[in-house]
Amino acid sequence: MVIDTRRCVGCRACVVACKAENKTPPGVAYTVVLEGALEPRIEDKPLFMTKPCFHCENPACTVVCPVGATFKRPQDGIVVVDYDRCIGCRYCMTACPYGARFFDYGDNYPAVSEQTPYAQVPSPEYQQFRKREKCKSPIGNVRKCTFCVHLQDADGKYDKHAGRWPACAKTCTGKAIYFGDFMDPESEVTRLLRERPAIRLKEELGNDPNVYYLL
Amino acid sequence: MNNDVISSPRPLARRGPLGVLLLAGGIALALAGLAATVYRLKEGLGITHLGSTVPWGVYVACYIYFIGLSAGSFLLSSLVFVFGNKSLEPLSRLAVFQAFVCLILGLVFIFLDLGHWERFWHVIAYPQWHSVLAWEIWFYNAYIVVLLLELWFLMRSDLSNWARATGGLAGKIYRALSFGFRCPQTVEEHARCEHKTLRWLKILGIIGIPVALGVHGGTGAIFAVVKSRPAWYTPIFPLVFIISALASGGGLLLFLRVFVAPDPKVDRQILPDAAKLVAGFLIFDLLLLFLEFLVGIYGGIPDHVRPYLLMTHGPFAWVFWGQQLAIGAAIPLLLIFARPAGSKYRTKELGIAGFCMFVGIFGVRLNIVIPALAVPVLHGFDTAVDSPRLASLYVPNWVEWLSSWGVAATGVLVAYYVMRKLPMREHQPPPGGAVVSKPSLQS
Repeated sequence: MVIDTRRCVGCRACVVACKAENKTPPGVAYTVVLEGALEPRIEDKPLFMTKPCFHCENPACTVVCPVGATFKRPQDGIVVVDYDRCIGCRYCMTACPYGARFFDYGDNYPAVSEQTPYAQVPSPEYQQFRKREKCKSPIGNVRKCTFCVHLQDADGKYDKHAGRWPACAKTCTGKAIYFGDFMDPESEVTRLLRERPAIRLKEELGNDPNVYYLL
Repeated sequence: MNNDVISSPRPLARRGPLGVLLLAGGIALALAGLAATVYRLKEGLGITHLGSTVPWGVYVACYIYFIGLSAGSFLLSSLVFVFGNKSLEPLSRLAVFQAFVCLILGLVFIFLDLGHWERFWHVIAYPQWHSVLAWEIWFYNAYIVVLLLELWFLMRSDLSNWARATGGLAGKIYRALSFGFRCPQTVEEHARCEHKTLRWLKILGIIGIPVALGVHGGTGAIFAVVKSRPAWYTPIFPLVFIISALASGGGLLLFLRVFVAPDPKVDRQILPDAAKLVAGFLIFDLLLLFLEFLVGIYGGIPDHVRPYLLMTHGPFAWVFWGQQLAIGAAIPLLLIFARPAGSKYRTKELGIAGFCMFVGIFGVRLNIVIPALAVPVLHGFDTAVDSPRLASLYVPNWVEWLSSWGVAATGVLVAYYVMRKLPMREHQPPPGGAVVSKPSLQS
């Protein structure tokens, strides 16, 4: 994923789209918009940055999991959580240098706690279609951005034109979020990295994040 | 006759009015706390004030606190069994018993901290060997085995004597606990048996030292390997855990010996030296704290300095200055070292010094866990979404405190009850005052 901070206006539509797609509860936001994480621009314009999970090449979170509940998928490198394996110890949350992990404490928005029709629609996450029930997973688990992995087809492919695309990138009003395959030299994201200088956060830690920011 | 009877006048300290009050308070606290614990387990972690910026709080602090008390007292006992330290010898049983109780309490706290506690068995069934936490689980298992074996070797001859001297259910329990061991009745055989026991204790102690270092040094390593938190990410951390464990475990041992299981004649002889040893560990611990601050603040890396600023100037600075340094270090060091020349030690003062030490180290534990997490990993992360679960200020709520106190009080009460029923000192008469004769009488 490549995020062009020059195109980001800080509207937070990505945060809302992610919530709508994954039906995350209060206090769980797979992407957040940060202000001031980097120094302001020279011309003193604000610098916003949306910050999903970076799906690092060397994730610090997966190695610390005592039960192997969170891991990097070999086929596409997406870092996922097995809700049925996770014991909720939250070690991975302390280990992530980027604040990509959130614990589901079981809080609910009124639309869910008041059992409106919205509450009846399960979350499509991981194509597991879980409904929110007290003390049932994913409540009591650590949750994180999945690059909307449930939108992949049977072959593990996304399709932008069919709408099977990460919700944040699909929604972005300024078209600041580019999603694609870094292994493909012709993809939009690879081309952007070739053409413009990009940075990654806390590169010195060696996590090798897969999300780049264009300044 | 009296000379031949091995007996201390009192099995354990008698309960005064203060003791009765403490006992009643403890029972009330245990009951209320257990109710809070059941509430917490039933409702999930949502009823705590934990969040996603500070995901670990009081429960984890209690976990490393009790694991530390356990490893510390065990390592002190191994000074006796492995290195032949004489001044600690009379404390060794108490130390191993305390190590066992505190280990169990530590494990209860980490259980209580799990989002899905009903899946605790996953750590055994699906270990992920890159995780320090997974290594620890196996260190804890090995440690339980070592502790139980040591306790048995320490108490088996007294237990078998008690089994003979006591009738009824108690006698049967003592017999069961001695696991078929019969104390030999002739002097020679008895000496041979004692010799064998000591050898076993030495072997177990030698096995136990790396295990206990792994138990608490490893618990320190859980934090030390986390590179995203610069204040944790230091090789000194596992060592800090071990040294502070020795200080807190030693403190608790002094306190228990003086106020719960005293033996005044022996204590006046041995406790001053034991207290100085423990105070030495406390001074070493302060040195390590100084080094952490020196290197961190000198380096000036913002994310490394911020937790220290929170500790020393944040809303809970009193934990650092008051609990950790004043109560936990200054008072016990003054009580132990600042004495008029030639004056005799009063054991009560040493017990109070011990009390201050283990209270102070709890402040250390809170300051290990919370400030490093309360500094968000990215600037503005804690305010990016309007939710109290992302707040960087974590104040534990009543459920967390009450359930923690309840678990601790229950552990202490059960341990106290068991302590009064077990031979915590060598050749102690069984409860009820039945007299056990020296083996020499029957040779």
